[in-house]
Amino acid sequence: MQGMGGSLSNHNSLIVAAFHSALRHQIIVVALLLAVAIPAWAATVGAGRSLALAGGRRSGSLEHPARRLLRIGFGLLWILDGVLQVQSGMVLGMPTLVVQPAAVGSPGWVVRLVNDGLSVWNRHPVPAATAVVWIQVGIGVLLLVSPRGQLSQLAGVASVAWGVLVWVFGEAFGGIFGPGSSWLFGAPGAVLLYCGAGVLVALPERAWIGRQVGRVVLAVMGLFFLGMAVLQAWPGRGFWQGQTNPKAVAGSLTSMMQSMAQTPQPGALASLLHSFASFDAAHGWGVNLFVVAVLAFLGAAFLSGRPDLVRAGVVVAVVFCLAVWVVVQDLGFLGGVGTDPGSMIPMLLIIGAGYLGLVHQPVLAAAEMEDGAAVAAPVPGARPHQAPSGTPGLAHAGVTRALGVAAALGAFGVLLVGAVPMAFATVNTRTDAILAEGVNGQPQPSDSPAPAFSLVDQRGTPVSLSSFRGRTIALTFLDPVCTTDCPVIAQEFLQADTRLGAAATRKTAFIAIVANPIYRDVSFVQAFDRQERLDTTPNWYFLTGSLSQLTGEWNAYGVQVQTLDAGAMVAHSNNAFVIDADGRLRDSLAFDPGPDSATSASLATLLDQVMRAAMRT
Amino acid sequence: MRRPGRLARAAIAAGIAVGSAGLSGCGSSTTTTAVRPPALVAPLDTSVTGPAGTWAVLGMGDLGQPDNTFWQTFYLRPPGGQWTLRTPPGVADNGGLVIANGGPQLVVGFLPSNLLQFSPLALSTDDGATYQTGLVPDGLAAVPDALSVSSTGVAVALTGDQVVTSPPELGNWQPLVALAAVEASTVGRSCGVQRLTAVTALPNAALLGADCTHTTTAGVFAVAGGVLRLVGPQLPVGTAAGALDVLRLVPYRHGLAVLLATNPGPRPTYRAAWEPTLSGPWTLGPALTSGRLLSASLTPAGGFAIVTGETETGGGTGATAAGAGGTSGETGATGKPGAGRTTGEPGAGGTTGETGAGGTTGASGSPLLAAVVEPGAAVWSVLPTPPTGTAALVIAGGRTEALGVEGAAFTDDRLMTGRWVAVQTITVPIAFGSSS
Repeated sequence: MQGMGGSLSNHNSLIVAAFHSALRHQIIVVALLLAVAIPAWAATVGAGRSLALAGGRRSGSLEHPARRLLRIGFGLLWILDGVLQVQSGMVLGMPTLVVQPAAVGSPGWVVRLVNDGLSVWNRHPVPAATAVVWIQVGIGVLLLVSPRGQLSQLAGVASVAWGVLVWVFGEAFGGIFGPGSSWLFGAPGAVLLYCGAGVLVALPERAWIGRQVGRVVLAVMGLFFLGMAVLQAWPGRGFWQGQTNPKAVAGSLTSMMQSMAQTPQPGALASLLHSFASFDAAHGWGVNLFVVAVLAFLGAAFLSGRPDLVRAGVVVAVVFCLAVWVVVQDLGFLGGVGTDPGSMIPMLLIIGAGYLGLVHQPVLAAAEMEDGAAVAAPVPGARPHQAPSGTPGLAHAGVTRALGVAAALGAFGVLLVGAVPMAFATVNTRTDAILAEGVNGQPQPSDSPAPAFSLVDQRGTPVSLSSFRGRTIALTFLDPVCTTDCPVIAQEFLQADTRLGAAATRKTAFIAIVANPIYRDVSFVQAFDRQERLDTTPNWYFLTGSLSQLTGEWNAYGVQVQTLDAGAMVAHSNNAFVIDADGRLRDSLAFDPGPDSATSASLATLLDQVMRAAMRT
Repeated sequence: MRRPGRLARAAIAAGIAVGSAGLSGCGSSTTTTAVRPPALVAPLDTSVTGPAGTWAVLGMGDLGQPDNTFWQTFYLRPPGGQWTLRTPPGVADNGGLVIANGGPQLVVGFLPSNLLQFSPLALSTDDGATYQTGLVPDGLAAVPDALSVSSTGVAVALTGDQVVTSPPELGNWQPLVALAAVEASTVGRSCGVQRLTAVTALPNAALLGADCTHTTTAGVFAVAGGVLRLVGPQLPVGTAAGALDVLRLVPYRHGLAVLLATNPGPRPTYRAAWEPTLSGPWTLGPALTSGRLLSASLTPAGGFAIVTGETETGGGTGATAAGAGGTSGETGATGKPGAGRTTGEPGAGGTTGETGAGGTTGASGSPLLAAVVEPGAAVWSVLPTPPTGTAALVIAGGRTEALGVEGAAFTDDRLMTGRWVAVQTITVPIAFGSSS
C-alpha cells in the first residue's frame, strides 16, 4: 500500500540472478580470451628460458626482482579484487555499504563527487557490477602475462588509471578528507598503493638500473610512515583512549574493532577481534603509543637508506602489517561486500620492492634492453658474467614477441569485456528497468478486456475507456493530495510519455484515476496537475467522479483504497495497467516507486518498455 | 646533483611528514558556520475557545521526525465535556494544521508537506463530526493565523509570499496583496517589514500581522479598497525602536487581540494588546520576558495563554514581568523559581490569580513556564509549572487545562487547587510510517 515504502534488499533475488546470469555469459568470452592469453604467456616463458640457456646465461627472467614482485603481487591482487566483486551483495550493496560509508564525514564536494560517480552504478547496477569484475581481472592478467616491454608498461598505466578512478569514486579519496583517518584503518586508501605500484611497473626498464628506484620508494614510504606516526599521535582524535568505562564513548580503534567483529566471519577470527578490542579498551593509551613508535621507527628506518636499518624495518613491517591486517583490518574482504584484502598486503609489496630495489642488482640488468639490443657497459657492482656464445635467432625472438603480444591482447580483451559496457553505462542516462522489477516484481501479462470507466477529466470533460480506442493506455490510480508516492509516479508517467516521443502522443494516453474518497473534486486534480506540471501535457488525463463511480473502478481494477485516521494520508495500492489500442488489458504492474530516485526512475524505463511492446502488437 | 646533507634531509623529512599528516588529518571536525538566531515564529500548537466550544491543535507522534509527526485537532464541547479527536481525514498532515474559527463554519487548513505543495481545506458545520472539502491553491504559511474567516464567511489566507482572499464558498481565491508590495509600501518601509505572520478577516477589511525590524508601532496593517494602513498598537513612550514581531492576530468578541514580541532571541519580551471595538484605541498589556514560545492560545475573553520553554542559558532566573504601560523592569509580580506547583486557584472567567509560584525551572525540574494575560490585566499571571510535555494551555468554562503530548498519547491536566490533576488521556491511532 502507498506510504509503506517499497524496499530493495541488497540480496534482491531478481537482480542478483541477473547479475550472475550476465557474468555467466561474459565468462564464456573471458574464457576464450584467457585460452589465448595463458598458453601464449606460457609459451613466452618457455621460449625465454630456452633463449637464456642457449646464450649460456643464468636462466630466469631479466626483469628486476623488485619490479617482478610488484607486477606479480599486484597482478594477483587485482585478480583477487575482481573475484571479490562477484559476491552476491555487491551488485546492490556496493553503493550503500561500501562507497557511501567511505564518504561519510567528508566535505560536501567529496560527497557530491562520489554520488555523481555512484549515479552510474545506481542506474545500471548489473552492467556496472560485472564491468568492475572484468576490468580488475583483466588488469591483473595483463600484469601477469606481460613481464617486459611496452605492454608491461601499459599494464602499469592501466593499473594507475583504474586505481585513480576507484580511489576517487570508490574510496572517497581513501577517506583522507573525513574524520578519524588512520593508517590502521587503511589511510590513504589501499587502491592508492595499487596506483603507486602501477607507476613503478610503468617505468622504463632502464629506470631499474642502479638503486635509485629502491631508494626513492623507501624514502617515500619512510616519509609516509613518519606522517602516519604524527597523525596517529595527534591528540583529540580518539586514538589515545580505549574504553575503561563501559558507559564512556569508546576510542576510535576500540569502536572500529568492535564494529569489525560484528561482520560475518569465522568464529575464531571474530573471537580474536573481540579479544584485541577488549585489550585496546583497557590499554588504549599504551596500544597507541606502541603503534606510534613502530610507525616512527619504520619511517626513520626507511628514510635512512641504510641497508641494515632498512632490513630491520622490513622485518618489523612484515610482522606489524600482518598483525594489523588480521586484528584491525579483519583481512579486509570479509562480510559479504569486501572489495579487497585491505592496505597491508599492498604496502608490504611496495616495501619489499623498495628493499629489493635497494639491495639487489640483476646480473644482466644492463645487458639486454626491451629492444633486444646488447649494451656494452656493465652494471657497477654487478657480478661478472660469461659472454654469450652466440646471438639468438631473430626468428625465435620474433615468435617470442608475437606470443607475448597475443598474451597481452588476450588479457586486454578481458579488460575490455568490462570497460566497454562500463563506458556505455556511463553515457546512458536511462535507469535500467530491472530496479523497478526488483522492487515490484515483473509485469504480469494479460489478455482480457479492460474494465470500462466513465468519468470526467481534469477539464470537467466526460471521458470513457471507449474514448481512447485506438490509443495505447497507461493507467494508474493516484491520490491528488498525496504527499509521497503519487507525485513521483506521475513524474514517471510523464518520463515514459516523453521517451515515447512526440510522434506517439496521439497514439498513447497516460491516465490516472483518483484514489481518494474524500478529496476527489476536480479542483484537486487540477491543483495536482499544476503542482506536477502536467497541465500542459496533451495526452495526460486525471479522471474523477462520484464516490460510487470511483469505488466501482477501484474494485474493477483490484485497487485497495483505505482512509486512515489521525492525520494519515489515504492508503492505496500502487498499480499500473497497460491497455492496448483495442481496449484489452495487456499488462499489470505493481508500481511502487521504491526507496530512492534510481528505483523510481527505473519505473519510467519499465513502463516505456511495456508500452512499446503493447504498441507493437 | 649534490645530495642535501643529513640535517637538511631530516628537516625536509620532518616537514613533509607533518605536511602529510596535516593533509590526512584535514578531515578533522569541520568548522561550522555561525548560527543565526531562529526567527521567533508562533508555533502551531494552540487552542481557541469560542461560543461553540474549544479547539486545540497539537503535533503528536515522533516530534523528532517530520514524517512521523501527525497533527491532530481536538474538540471540547461546553460545558464540562470531554475532549474528542476530530482530525479531518483524507490528507497527511505532517506539515501542520491551522484553524479558522471565526466564521459560520470551522475551517481547518492542511499545510504543505513532503511533495504536497498546496493546501487542502476541511470545512465543518457540526463541530468536526463531518467535513467537506476545500482548497487553497497555494500552500498556507506555517503560522497559527494563516487562515481566517470573517463572520460573513469571507476568508483570508496567508501563503508563502502573498495574502489571498475568497468569497464565502472558499472556492475562488484571488490575490489580495503580496509581501513585496507590503515591504515596498510607505507604511511597510516605516516599520521595516520582514515577513507576514498573521491574517485576520473582517467583514469589510483584512488585517495583516508582520514582523518589523525597526519600529515602536506593531506591524498590523489594514487592507481595504486597495489601501494599506498601519494600524498596530504603539509601544510605551520612550521605548527604543527595534525588532517587533506580531505572533498572533486574532479576532475576539467584537475586537482584535494581538500578541507581540520584542527582543527576539533566547529571551524575548511578550506583550499583548487589544482593540475592543475595531475602531481603536489599542490597550497595551503588561510585558513578560521569558524563553522560547512553545504555544500561544486564545482565551474566551481575548487574552493569551502561553507556554514558553527554557532558554539557551538553561532557564535563567525565571520570568520577569513588567506592568502594563511601564518600561521593562520588575514592577510586577514575578514567578518564584523552585516553588513547585502550589497555591492559587483559577479565578472566574478562566483567569488565574497571582500564584507567586512556578517559574521557569521549578523544583520539579520542568523547563516550562505557563502564563496568562487577559485584557485589562496589570501583570501576567504565572501559573504553576505545567506538566512535562505540555503543548498548549486551554482556558475555557472556568477551567485551566494543560494539554500534553507524549508520542501518541494526548493528556489533559486540569489546574485544581494549585495542582495539575490528570483528567483525561486519549491514545491516538497514529499511523507511523505512513508518510515515508
